[in-house]
Amino acid sequence: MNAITGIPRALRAGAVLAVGAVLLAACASTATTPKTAAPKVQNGGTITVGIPNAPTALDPTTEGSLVGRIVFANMCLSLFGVNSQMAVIPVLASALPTVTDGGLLYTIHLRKGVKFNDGTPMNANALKVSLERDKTFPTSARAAVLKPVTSVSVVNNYTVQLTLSQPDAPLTSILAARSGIVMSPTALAREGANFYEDPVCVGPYAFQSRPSLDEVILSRSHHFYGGAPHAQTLIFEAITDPSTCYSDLLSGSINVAGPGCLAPNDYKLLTANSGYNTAQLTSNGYEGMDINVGNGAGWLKPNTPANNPLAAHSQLREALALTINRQTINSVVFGGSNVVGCGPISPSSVYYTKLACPTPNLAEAKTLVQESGVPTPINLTLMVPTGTLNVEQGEIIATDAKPAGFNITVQPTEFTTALATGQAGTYQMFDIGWSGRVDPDQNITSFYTQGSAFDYSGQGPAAMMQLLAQAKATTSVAARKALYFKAEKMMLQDNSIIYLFHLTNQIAYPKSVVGLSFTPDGLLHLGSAGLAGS
Amino acid sequence: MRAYLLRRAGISLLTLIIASMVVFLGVRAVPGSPATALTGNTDFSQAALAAINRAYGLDNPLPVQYVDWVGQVVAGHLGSSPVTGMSVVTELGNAFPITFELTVLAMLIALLFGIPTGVVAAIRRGRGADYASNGLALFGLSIPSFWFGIMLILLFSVYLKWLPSAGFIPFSQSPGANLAHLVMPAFVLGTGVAAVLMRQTRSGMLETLRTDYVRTARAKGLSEWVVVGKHALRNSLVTVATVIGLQFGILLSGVAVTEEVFGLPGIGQLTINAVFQRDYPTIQAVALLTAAIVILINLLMDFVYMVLSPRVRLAGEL
Amino acid sequence: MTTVTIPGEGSLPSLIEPSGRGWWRRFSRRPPAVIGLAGVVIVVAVAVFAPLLAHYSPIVSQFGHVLEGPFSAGHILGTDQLGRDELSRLIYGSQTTLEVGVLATLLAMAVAVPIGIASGFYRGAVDMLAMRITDVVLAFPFLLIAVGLAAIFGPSLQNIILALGVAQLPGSVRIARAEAMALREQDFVQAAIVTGVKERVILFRHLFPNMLSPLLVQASVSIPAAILGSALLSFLGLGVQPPTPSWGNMLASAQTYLYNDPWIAIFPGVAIFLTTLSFNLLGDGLRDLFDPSMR
Repeated sequence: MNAITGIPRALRAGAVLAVGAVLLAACASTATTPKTAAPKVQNGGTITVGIPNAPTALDPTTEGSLVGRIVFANMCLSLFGVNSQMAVIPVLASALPTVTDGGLLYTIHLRKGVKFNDGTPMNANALKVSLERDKTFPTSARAAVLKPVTSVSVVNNYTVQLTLSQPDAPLTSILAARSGIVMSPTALAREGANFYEDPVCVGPYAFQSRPSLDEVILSRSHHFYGGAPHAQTLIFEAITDPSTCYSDLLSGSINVAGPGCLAPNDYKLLTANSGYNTAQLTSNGYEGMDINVGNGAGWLKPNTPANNPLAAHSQLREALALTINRQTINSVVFGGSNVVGCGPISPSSVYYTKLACPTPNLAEAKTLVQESGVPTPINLTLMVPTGTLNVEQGEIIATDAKPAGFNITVQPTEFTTALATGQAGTYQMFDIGWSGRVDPDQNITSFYTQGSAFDYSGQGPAAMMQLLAQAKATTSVAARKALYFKAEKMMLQDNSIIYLFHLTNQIAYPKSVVGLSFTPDGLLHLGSAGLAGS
Repeated sequence: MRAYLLRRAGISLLTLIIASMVVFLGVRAVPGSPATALTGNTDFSQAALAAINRAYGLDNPLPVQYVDWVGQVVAGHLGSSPVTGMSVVTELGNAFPITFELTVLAMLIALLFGIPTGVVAAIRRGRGADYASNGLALFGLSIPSFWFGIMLILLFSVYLKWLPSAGFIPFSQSPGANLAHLVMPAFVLGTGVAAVLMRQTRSGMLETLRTDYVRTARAKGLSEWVVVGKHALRNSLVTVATVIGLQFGILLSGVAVTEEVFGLPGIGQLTINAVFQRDYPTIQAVALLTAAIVILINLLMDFVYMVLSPRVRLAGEL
Repeated sequence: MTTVTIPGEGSLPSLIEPSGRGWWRRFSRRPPAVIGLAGVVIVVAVAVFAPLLAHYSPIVSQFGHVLEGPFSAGHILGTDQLGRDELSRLIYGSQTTLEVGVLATLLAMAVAVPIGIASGFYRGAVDMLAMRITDVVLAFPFLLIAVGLAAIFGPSLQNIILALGVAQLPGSVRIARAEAMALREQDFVQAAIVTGVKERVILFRHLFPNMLSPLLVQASVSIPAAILGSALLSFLGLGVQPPTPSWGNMLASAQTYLYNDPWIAIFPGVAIFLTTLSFNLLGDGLRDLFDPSMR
């Protein structure tokens, strides 16, 4: 399922190549690239950021859209964050958590002297209240990832301990995402379930108003421990049509085109435009093709072989994978904006090991098809979410697979219908991606676990699932890296998900906007940003 | 006359109820539920999804859900969206004024351009002005609205930089900015309606100008202006009234794409996103609201038609 | 956007057929009407003879020749984002575009005319029911219907035609109804009723043939409305799906490349515009032809 842009634009999300330049991190403690003499920055002013779709209700406990994370990055900081190398760093916490007791006890120390945007102090109790709300709120979107946490206890005013039921390596990076947002207990007590109407947390900007679904207005906070930002107002504007985003940027209606707003071709034009800065970072997301192997009866039923020639014969899947020319698709359809890849772990990730991708080999594909004994032409359907780029990609895959004996019909399907079909298992091939999270486990395990709404292809091979479970249980980066590498090689044999690209995030803004920071997790940090001039 | 009106009102209410049922069943016929849409971005467990379904009453039998919903509507609540988590009334309250203002402006533009050109075309029938007006009308009817919008943006926002290309400023905040944001989309929307109005006015006027009634007025020596203004125009307004009613519903359809092109967070955009995300409460609310407005306007136009047209009043047709 | 034009409420029903000599003379008296007819004939001819006229396949991609502008070697109108010849796609696109427009209109009329005739002839409860149904259809933005259908059944050609047909229903129902109501009062119909001619015969033999002219006019307006409607659907990704070219989906996918190569957006837009213009001009001409006052 694609979380890049939410629904109508689905996988049209820009995906770009090249690890671009990153700018000053908002309040991170890593070395930053020194810039040339800083231009004078206005005190005040409004920065408008274009985002590809509207966030859901801005309650950190329930919020479920990709763009919501960008908004929160500026008004609701988490315990941890991510730096330009995609390493987890402390933000509201004063250090990374101490993990003891075989991975079952996490001790978190909080930064002192931090105030919420309503002036009340942030402390251990606030964190406890927030985490417990995340676990118990009826429509919480955080409960699933916080499941291993069985209790939260306050040790002292600035120290909290989390007790886990089993070791869970992703937890730290999960606390670097929305689950780690600390909300103001005073505001929670006052608003309860309506917290989304006026969310109060810690951030350089404070929530001011949301006049419509498509517009979020923040104003600078003088309570922020990192110092009040230059700009007075920060507006997030949802622009669903990429051409509109481009013309809005040119006309000045928006100051920043955020990740996913622009089409790859327009981004390319901006890279050549001397009036604009552009940045492109490889994200944790991927684009792939799920093949229905074991999801024959739907996600609510146990693993069942699917009615699919590709399900019964793994040589056919291998053959199909050998016909795919990732380079061509990337350059023709996406303007070279994706990074060619064949596994779920992104080159930006600290867990990445270079994986050799198979080169297209038609002869071998034909041999494999023959070996399988299945008579050609093999008729298959490929479900793609509607959208020009997706459909073009599907067409190219179909064209390239034809000589090997595959007769693929591309079926453009409305996005949510495609999700429902994928979950019901009534498909054969599904072109779908995932926007990616910092921890590899969140980008892999659910997708191979029968019973997860993300698992369209069925239960993964037992040996591979074991590797994944081991990787989840240890916090050693080196050990996990090795385990995931082994797992990726198994995925290349199994081919129930054929990974095509690593997705990238692109942004663009005129030279008049300065001090903006962009991290590989796709977040824009505008705490130090402002408009040049006096 | 009062009986007629009451009867019409009763029928309108019935239509509204049928419309509500159609929407209610229609959205549930589409594959995928609000929970499905949520699984696009978040790894919900089965239990969590079930909890969401329960929280929004989606696991109740259909008739129960319908009755619950009707009860809510009558009480003035429209529920919360399972997808955005926000109250539907809030969503609508934010979006509706924008669409309403846009539609009204579009109608005004249509009336401003359509009726005078129609009158001129009728009076100067067969001559240059007639062809010119007809040409303009045809232009308005033949051009794809979103393409027209994009071309206008290219011209006025990107190259000339005279007008903003997206967004909305409330009238209360800044009338000038408000109109600057709405003039292009209103123009795009209004063009099609103007074209229809122009033709309706023209043919209506031609009709009336031919009647004995007008011939007599002319013979009596009344000035051309009086003839045209008082007699012919009045009768044309009858046709115009019916067309407005018809066009309003059609306008609300075209609004969605115009809103997307111009970045206006109105009802159109809200609806499209809601449908894609299977946001049942929002879809139902918008469809009901739209239907109610269209039905109401048609009722009003029936009334206007009756008042203006003696023939109908006497015939008392259904 | 879909538009429906109703002949002025005050106008007399068009009972007079264009038969009889001199109808071409009357028709050709208005140059725009002739232009419209010529336009329609050209578009239909292009659609019918597409395989003969197009030099390239409209769906085979050529990745080496992407986004070439007009007058490039071998491609007089240039190529699109997958290297396909723009002219050939326009030519084949006429087939899909016309197919959608005409079939949607035919579907609408096939359903609407019987309903309208019954409604206008029988009046009473039948009329009320028909009008209520029409009102309900009118009350819904057709976009909602189209998106819903596309989501349920997939964005296939049939579903688009269905959705657009539904959108055209109310207009045709009203015309058929108005005509039936007026015709019913005519002497020849009254005579038939009084002399006990079977109702079915009256409906088929007396009413229907006499309303062909306004229905023809309505069709000439409905077809372009359906074409514009399908372009709208394509903009939302719900129209005819690629690789099959339709002018609507060519226009929609060109949006992404608007600043790189505006030509692939201009050509289909112009094609749609000229086609709808031709149909509208033709419709005007037909209306004037059947209008008794123009004799």
